[in-house]
Amino acid sequence: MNRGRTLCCSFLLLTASSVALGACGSSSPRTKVGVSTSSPGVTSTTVTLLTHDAFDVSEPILKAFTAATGIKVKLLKQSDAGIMVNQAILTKDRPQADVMYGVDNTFLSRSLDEGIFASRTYRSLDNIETEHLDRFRDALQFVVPIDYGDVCLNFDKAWFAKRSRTPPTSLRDITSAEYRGLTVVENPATSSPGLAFLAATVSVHGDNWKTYWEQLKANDVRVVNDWSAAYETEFSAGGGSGTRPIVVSYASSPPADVVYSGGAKTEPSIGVVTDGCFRQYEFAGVLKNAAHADAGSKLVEFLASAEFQTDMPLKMFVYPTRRDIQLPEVFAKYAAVVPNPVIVDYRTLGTSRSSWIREWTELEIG
Amino acid sequence: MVRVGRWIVGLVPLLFVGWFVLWPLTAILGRGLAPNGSLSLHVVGDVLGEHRTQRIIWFTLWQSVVSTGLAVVIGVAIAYCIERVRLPGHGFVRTVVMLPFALPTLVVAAGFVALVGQGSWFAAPSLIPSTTIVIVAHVYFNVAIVVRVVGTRWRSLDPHLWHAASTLGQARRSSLLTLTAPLLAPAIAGAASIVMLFCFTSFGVVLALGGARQSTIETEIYRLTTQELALDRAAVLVVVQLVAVGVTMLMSSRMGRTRYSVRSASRQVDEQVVLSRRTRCAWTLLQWLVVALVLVPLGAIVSRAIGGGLDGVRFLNDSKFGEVRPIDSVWTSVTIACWSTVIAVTVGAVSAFALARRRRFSRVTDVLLVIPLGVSAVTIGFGSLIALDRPFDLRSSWFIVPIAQATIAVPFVVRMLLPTLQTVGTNLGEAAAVLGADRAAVLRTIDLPLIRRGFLGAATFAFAISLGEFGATAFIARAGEPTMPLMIARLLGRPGSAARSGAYLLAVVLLVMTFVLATLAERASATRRSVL
Repeated sequence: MNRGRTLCCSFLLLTASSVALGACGSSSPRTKVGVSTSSPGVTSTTVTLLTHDAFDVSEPILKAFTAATGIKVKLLKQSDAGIMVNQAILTKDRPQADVMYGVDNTFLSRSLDEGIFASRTYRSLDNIETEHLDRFRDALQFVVPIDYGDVCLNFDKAWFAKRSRTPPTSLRDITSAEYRGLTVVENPATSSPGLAFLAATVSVHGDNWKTYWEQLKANDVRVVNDWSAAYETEFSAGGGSGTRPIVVSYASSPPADVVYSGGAKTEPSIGVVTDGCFRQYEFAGVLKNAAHADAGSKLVEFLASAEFQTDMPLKMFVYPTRRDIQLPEVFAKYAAVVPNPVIVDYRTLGTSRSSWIREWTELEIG
Repeated sequence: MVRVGRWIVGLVPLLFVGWFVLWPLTAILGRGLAPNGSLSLHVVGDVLGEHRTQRIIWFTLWQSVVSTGLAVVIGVAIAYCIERVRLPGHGFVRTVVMLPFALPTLVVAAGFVALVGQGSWFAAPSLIPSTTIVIVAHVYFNVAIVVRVVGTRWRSLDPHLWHAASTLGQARRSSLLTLTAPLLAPAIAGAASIVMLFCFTSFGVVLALGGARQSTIETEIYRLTTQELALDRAAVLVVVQLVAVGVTMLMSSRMGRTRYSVRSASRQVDEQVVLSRRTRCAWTLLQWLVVALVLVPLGAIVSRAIGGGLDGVRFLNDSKFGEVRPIDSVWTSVTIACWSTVIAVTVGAVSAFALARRRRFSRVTDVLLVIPLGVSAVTIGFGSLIALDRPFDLRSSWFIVPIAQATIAVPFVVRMLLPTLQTVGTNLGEAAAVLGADRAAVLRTIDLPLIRRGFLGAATFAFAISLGEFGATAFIARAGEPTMPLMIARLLGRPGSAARSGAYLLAVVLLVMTFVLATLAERASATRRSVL
């Protein structure tokens, strides 16, 4: 009797204390950044930013933003960009947030067609490189391109060096017998880099893209469902017991590899195939029917500001769209430069992605 | 007065499930099947007529049936070994078997890959990905449910029944059929129904271990909802899932119907079954084999965590995602789990009381409570976005996470508390009433002590579920910090050895916490207490 009661009491005590501690400690359940040290005369608002889990920013930078504008940023995170966009579409009449960041060019046309973004004028567009702006002219009254990255084939340098073999240098290479059984790709139906790679192959090969994939299949390419499975368990340089030295990943994998090795590495063990890389862009915009549209605009301008864009590469391993941003040294040293990325028009991506995925699934999986 | 009170109590489970599960579900199904206000059902024919859909439904069905069958057989054997044979170390086995259940699927999948994937010790390249490994993984996760539910029931049965049977001349083997099976049938049916639903809607395991070739209804709903936003097609598949829930519950209630209600043992008798030396040896071997099989993939995870050395520890402590360090997710998980357990146990206990006395109502409520387990988490997550913004906007509240986790835990709590209440029947209550006790006194002196035995076990289970919960949490936009499973997924989603060993370290923390919880519950429930 007593033991049970004691345990119940201690359980309740544990609940109460952890709630109290949780509420007081830095890991508070509410992600409200910024103390109300706003400049006098500035009213304090809270703007909700809907984004995906990969969003990351240095605390001091966000605090400085709050101090300067009085706008507190509340983060609402969804695990994946696709889910995030589709949820935003579903709730467009009563949006969950004021600003959405992380919609990429594969989902851009769908989000524009559904009209989830508010039409606004963004001054920071003047600071963005023209080449990025030119690709999305019709979208710029709704969204601002914040960052870009390239989805490319990566290879394990050590694996090839050990066997004295040359690593692949083009999309064509991985269909040749020399590289049989060495590649792992992600399923475009469930993985964003997988879809990016598929789109790149379609764009490069045109009507013959299915032949390319047939050749890949004949060359024993392995398909897994997401990037983690491909990189962690199949890729030989992923730290698991993978046996395949070629994987679809990002051009920024080498610096990420160095940074996330916790200081163990000074040279990346990963090389990048710069042929057939898909250019991925991410956008931010104020949602229509948002409660705090003007404050939201300021947040979007902040995402395109020099402070945020300088901080971004080491946090999210993407490139800034703003011109004249100094890249961090590890990026400048190790990230692969892709001279001719594959640019697929965002409207084509919107209309064709379903049919591409369907046809690919029939082909590769049957 | 009492009747009104009973009605109010009965409403609690309905309100809970209705608000947080049924309303979102109806909202999203409505969007899918009646987008312009009028029902358009031609899409049902389109979707179900497709060969691909039929193949997916068939695969989902047979893999879940096979997984459930295996899990029940193995689980009952282990429950027998633990509760009746009672070899030394049975408490440890009970704890160990529960560990896989509380771990997120991606961690265990990684453990499996480390064991039998390419380039590992027992490399069997054809195993991953494959259907076999998916079924093995299902059994691995779900055997804990069978052992817990059936074992708890077995422990509470009066061994004098078997003594009486053998005195009357029945051999032990045949008493298995005539006595043990009918008595355990409700528990087995209850456990089997939950395992079946879990395997039917299994997502993480299929995605990680089944490879691109295997699609289940759940992964298809995921793809249709999150990638294509084809809500109409997804709605059809959700309806298929609902039908499966209904059929499963119907079959389980048929199989679990007892012809007689038997009172529980007057005290928990830790009586060992008398066995020959050879049989005892065989059971000992089996017991430790099971422990080894459970621990080996977990050992692979531990070795990966340790293999990273201090880099992983430093990474967890020093690196920052926003304003959170990975290690802070431990606190987040514990806080959320505490809240979730409180909600789950409260709603579960109240539901158990409400259901214990009324048969017809209980069947309907039982099916309703089990819906979160049997219906796509993606769908409910999306549905909660359109439904839960009135009357208060819960969508941006961090409270939605513990609630979502509680909806998964409530059916378990009910299943663990209900059998104890039901088997006592109304006899004790009526006896007490005859002796002059009013309803409140009956509640206090009979029902509550009865429930207390199962209470701690149920609370521990709910806590463990919440700690390792990934599915429901992953599909709702979160205002709070990530829980441990989500943080592990994030860390595994980054290149770099430090991030990876950090992920495995967090998984080890999860393991240790579950182990401690389970051991605590073990100790607490080992007290002998008199019911009468």
